[in-house]
Amino acid sequence: MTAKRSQFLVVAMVTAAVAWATMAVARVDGIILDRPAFVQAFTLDDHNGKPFTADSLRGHWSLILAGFTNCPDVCPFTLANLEQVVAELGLRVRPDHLPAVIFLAVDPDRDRPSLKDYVIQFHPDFLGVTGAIDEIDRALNGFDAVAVRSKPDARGNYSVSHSAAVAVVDPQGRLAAKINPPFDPGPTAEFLADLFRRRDRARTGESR
Amino acid sequence: MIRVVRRFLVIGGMVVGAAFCAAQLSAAERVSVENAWVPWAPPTVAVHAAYMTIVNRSNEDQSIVSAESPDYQRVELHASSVKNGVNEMRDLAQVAIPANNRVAFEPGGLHLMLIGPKQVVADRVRIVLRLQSGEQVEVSAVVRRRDAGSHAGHDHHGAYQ
Repeated sequence: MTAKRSQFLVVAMVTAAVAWATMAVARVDGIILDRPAFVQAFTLDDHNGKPFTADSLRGHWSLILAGFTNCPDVCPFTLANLEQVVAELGLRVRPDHLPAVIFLAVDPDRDRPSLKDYVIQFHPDFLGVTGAIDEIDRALNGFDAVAVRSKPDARGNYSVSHSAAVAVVDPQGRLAAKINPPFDPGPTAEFLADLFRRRDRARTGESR
Repeated sequence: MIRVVRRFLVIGGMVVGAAFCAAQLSAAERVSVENAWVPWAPPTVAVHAAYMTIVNRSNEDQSIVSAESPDYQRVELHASSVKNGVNEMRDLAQVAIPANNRVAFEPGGLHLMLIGPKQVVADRVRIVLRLQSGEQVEVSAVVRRRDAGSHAGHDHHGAYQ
């Protein structure tokens, strides 16, 4: 475990405790980082063939989940829930605060052909991104996530295990929070709306 | 004469009725499937899921050892789970359906993985479940959009290996 990660964990545990005490209303297993962490540089492509880098995360909130298109159960379920989360957020925050939803596809060879279709079935604005394995792993690291590809069986089939949490990245391109399943739409939207409001208050305070 | 025939018919009917009741329930009556559905997916997506509740009305434990579908290349029994914050999917050799019990295949837990659709999936998907006894249960799963909601949780009634 790196020093950076253990520091992250300590901060995360403390903030989780504080978050739990102050937001007992929302039944969300979420963690807000005390000090948001810049994600390291990476270069991927989005499902339209355009470059997608750490800079692409700037200027808006983002919800990022790792997954793969040969995942028939959990990944679609999470994407369907995030679609509902964004719909619920639309009732609570201004349109410029609505987060982009980004599906980080970690199995590029199998993911590329169907990535766009897979992702936009849940919402036309959802964006699938993928790339070279080492770039994917770099991106995952920045979101405090992992992906482990199993060894192929005799038929060449393999599965991919990946982090279940959704990473919340702020408009400065920093990892601001993580949300663990289940992603119940109402409480998750409330958790995010509260995070956005706090951030806005903090920024207003800074500028005074 | 008529009275004799009638008596013969009554006795005969009773014998046939008793025999009918004593006979075992058919495979379809012992093990049945409720609310089978397949989340709609775009034609290019190579792997789909099927969810359902499997009901065992018999006094004997049953077990599903495999599944197939004329609409897909292959069907596997799978379980999703979260371990240490990581989503995993396991291939199951069988799924036990205990006597007089029901087992739910639902998002985030047990599911059938439907691999390689042979044509564009339309209204229904045909699936055949094979039991350890050698019998089979035919399922017609409705294709529909997903509803958002909670994960299934991790309380799958039946044990499975």
